[in-house]
Amino acid sequence: MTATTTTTGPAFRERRPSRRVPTARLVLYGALVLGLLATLAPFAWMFLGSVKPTGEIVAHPSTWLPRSPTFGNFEQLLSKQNFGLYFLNSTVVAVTCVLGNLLFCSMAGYAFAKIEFAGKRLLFGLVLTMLIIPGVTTFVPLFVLVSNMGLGNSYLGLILPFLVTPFGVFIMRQFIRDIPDALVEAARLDGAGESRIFLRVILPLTRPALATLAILTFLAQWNNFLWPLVIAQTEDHYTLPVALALFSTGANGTNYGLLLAGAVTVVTPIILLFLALQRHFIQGIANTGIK
Amino acid sequence: MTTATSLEPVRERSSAGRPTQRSRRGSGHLRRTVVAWAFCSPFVLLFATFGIWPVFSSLSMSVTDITSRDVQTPFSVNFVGLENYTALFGDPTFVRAAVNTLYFVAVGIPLTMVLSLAVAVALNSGIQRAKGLFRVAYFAPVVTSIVAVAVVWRYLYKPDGMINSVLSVVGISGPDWLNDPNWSMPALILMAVWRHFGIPMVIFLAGLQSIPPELHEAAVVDGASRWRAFRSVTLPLLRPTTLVVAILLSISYLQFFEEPFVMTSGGPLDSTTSISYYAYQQFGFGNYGLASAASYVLVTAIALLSLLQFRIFRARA
Amino acid sequence: MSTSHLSKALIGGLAATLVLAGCGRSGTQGSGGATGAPIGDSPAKGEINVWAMGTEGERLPELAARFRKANPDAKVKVTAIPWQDYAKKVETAIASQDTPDATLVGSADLTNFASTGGLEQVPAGLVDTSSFYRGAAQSTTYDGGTYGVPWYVDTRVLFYRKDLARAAGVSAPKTWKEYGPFLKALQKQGAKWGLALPTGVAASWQGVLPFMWQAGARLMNDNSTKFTFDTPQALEGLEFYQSFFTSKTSTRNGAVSLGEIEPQFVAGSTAALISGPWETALLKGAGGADFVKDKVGVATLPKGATSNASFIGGGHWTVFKKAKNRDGAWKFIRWLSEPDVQQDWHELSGDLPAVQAAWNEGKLRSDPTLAVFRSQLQTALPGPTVTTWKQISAVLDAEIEKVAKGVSSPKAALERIQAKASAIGTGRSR
Repeated sequence: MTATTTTTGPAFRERRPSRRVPTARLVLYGALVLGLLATLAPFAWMFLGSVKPTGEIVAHPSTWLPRSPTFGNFEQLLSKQNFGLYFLNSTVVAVTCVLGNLLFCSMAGYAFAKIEFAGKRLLFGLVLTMLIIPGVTTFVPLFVLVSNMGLGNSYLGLILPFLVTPFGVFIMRQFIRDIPDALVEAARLDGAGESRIFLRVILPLTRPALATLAILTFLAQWNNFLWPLVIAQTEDHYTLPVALALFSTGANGTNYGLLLAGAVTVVTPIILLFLALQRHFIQGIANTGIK
Repeated sequence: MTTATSLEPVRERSSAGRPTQRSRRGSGHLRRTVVAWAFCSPFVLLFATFGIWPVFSSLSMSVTDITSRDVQTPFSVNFVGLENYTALFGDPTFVRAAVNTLYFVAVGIPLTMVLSLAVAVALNSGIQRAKGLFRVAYFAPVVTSIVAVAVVWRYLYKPDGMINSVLSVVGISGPDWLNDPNWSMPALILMAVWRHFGIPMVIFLAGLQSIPPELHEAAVVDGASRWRAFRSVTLPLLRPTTLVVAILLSISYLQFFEEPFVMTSGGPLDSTTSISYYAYQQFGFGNYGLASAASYVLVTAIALLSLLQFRIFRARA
Repeated sequence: MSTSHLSKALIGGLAATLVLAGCGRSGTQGSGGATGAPIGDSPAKGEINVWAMGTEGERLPELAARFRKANPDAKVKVTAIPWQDYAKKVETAIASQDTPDATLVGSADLTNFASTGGLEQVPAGLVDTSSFYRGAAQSTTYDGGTYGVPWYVDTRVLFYRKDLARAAGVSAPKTWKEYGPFLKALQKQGAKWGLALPTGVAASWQGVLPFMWQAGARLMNDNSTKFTFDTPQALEGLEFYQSFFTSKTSTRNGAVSLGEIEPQFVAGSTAALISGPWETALLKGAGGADFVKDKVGVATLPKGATSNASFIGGGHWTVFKKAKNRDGAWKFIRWLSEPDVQQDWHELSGDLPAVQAAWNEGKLRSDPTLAVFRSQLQTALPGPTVTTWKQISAVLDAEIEKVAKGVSSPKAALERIQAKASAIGTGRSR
């Protein structure tokens, strides 16, 4: 798989001007723009809907533009419900999981990539196996385990199962493996201990992989729904998606205005983060593919 | 475990690619082992508790008749061998769920791959202007929460919703997507493609950028059509990338759960019930044994499909 | 089947974790055991932790403040949690043995919680069972014990477009015979559909079992050991349900999510629906107060061969076995079922009192809409109280969907329901 990357050199980066005739390019642009509109339409509907009164959202036939725009849904959302707290919970959970994955997965990844040790094959085999185990398989045993540890309805219960992931170890190991052994060997000959090598040699060189892992972990945890739904019992531990799902639907009715305003609240921070870091996001995903 | 061997080639290749350290002395080996395990220890501790243990536990549940009522007295359950597995295949709902999952995978994966490759090629070769904008916009659905977008998609799919009003502009009278057993699955596939195709697109883009344009140009100069050049030069070079995309997609598409969970509850008439959704439902009913068995059918399917893809793409590469 | 050694070995690991986590496997399943010590008359003391859901959870603190006046040494702490998926939370609390003192539960879920062994039976003499609506009291029992105290009730009645009925010159139907023609008359006034019926979404059974009851069906035998879905009465009920679709009175594609019907009802494209006391507020939200006043009529369900039975729902109070303040919790619950407290609660929340005596004064006595509910409550019934009901009701929903969409005959559907329900069992034989 690494074969494709090795041919990439600065000499090949230059692009020749395309020789396509303008009409073909126009068609191409047209298709891309249509695809773009289709991709973004659901977002547009969500943002426009969030400033409509509920009656207008459910009206038949529905319209794109709000007839009487209002921020009432957001006011209700912020006043009635503790969205600041849910926001904080989501952030705490996601950030802690990011830090845990960065530290622990890169440590394990280093051992897997650069140290020969007894039990390595077995352990790495287990990591690879776990990559393909679907979440639904471990859901209930995990739930029973966490409840019995007395961690139901706690931050620890929300965080611990995701503090390390086999995926994290896998991509860190793949990346660290590509760092030349000579660097590590040289440091060893200089008498540096493994932890010093890890901190001084490996970590600075793995920044792109760390960025990838950080972004993917944050994304997964920010949007994680099923686990927090069953673990967080009371309001003070809800994350944003849980609060969104639970509060918008009452016993007998759905408040669509509140639901859309909530959806905007959940999606906006991650979209902004994505826009700010889009280069890293996309490079990160691309990294997972090539390694 | 068969599941481990399916990914074996990666490991073999990786360790063969660099000098081994076997020449080192035995005492150094012991020291290294201690150091390595120390490095792995936080990971191993958490991984064993929250990863390996639940897997072991659900595997043993799948051969017993354990229900939610037995959680406090797990000794009182009966060993039933493969009875849960035979029960599964005797349940028409499960068979339907398995067929649906295959439908979703068989249509969804090729569709996602073709679409994402097409967009990647278009972005890579055809255009200079607004490339970044397109890339960002096409990727945006990947980062959004399904809970948040589900409500929007339910509206888009209404009989008089946005999708049908667009269709009516070109003279097609659209179906009642989510209420029609024939159209509910296509509706969910479309939504899944929307949500997922950004990831393979970006991976393909990276793969394409690593192919020197000269190769492609040379083929064109030699008289091959653009399409032929793409087929005989670009596609073969993209094979490793395609393998990665195919495996990532099959792992996530075989777990098909979120779309039916938020959109259709598996209906209408079980037309969107998947294996994951079936397992989740059985957990809800408290039938832990049956649910675990269903999820292991899924594990087997994922392992087999990954293995198959390795065979196909490796053999030709 | 006997417990084998192998299963012990396999499950041993699971047990070990439970033990390591400090949890004994002492759970006494099922019941039939004795009730706890009776509750005295002295004022309640200490902190009483309770869970309440949705609107109930939001409004309860106000009512609880009044409890404090009579019980100065007690403090009720209310934790509000949403209705959606609350059952998982209660189950989690019981499984992890980390529970509040008492919780509100939906009447249909009580059996399930009771079967986990995590609830205490209602102490003898705490309340007079006959003071509640019969259907409500019925749904507090499980396996010979009583595990909950009814707090409020709800039942479903017929909401119809009064203006369309007036224009058509018809009045609300009293019997099955008048049902179809009435709805057809409303359709002639421009409504696309006469009646909104559930067509297979979760809990469709709550809207369809009443047709069977109305035809005289009883879905279990006398001692609740066997299901009896395969009776002529049940068939008559299900065929009547089917007739709404074949006559194009109801759409085969009923609402999928909550809140879908109200706009259609307001727009006049659906002329009638069957819903509970909460519906008035939803219709006000969708169409305004004037719409409800001028255009919405409310009537009891039309009578079939035997009765006009509807489905009874509502909320019960239960106390956990692991409660820290058991006495206080039961005293609070006893206070909540006093008729004048029930009236206060109706004022605060709009919930209908479960205690019949509470209906004898004020608005509860005089309001014409409430009178319709009051009359409907007399005959309303709960679903069967067996622990496997959640699974069986899912079978019902799936088969109901087949009948509604026209892919199965009512007879074949009932045969499958009977076979599957019997195979699933009542959860008691194990």
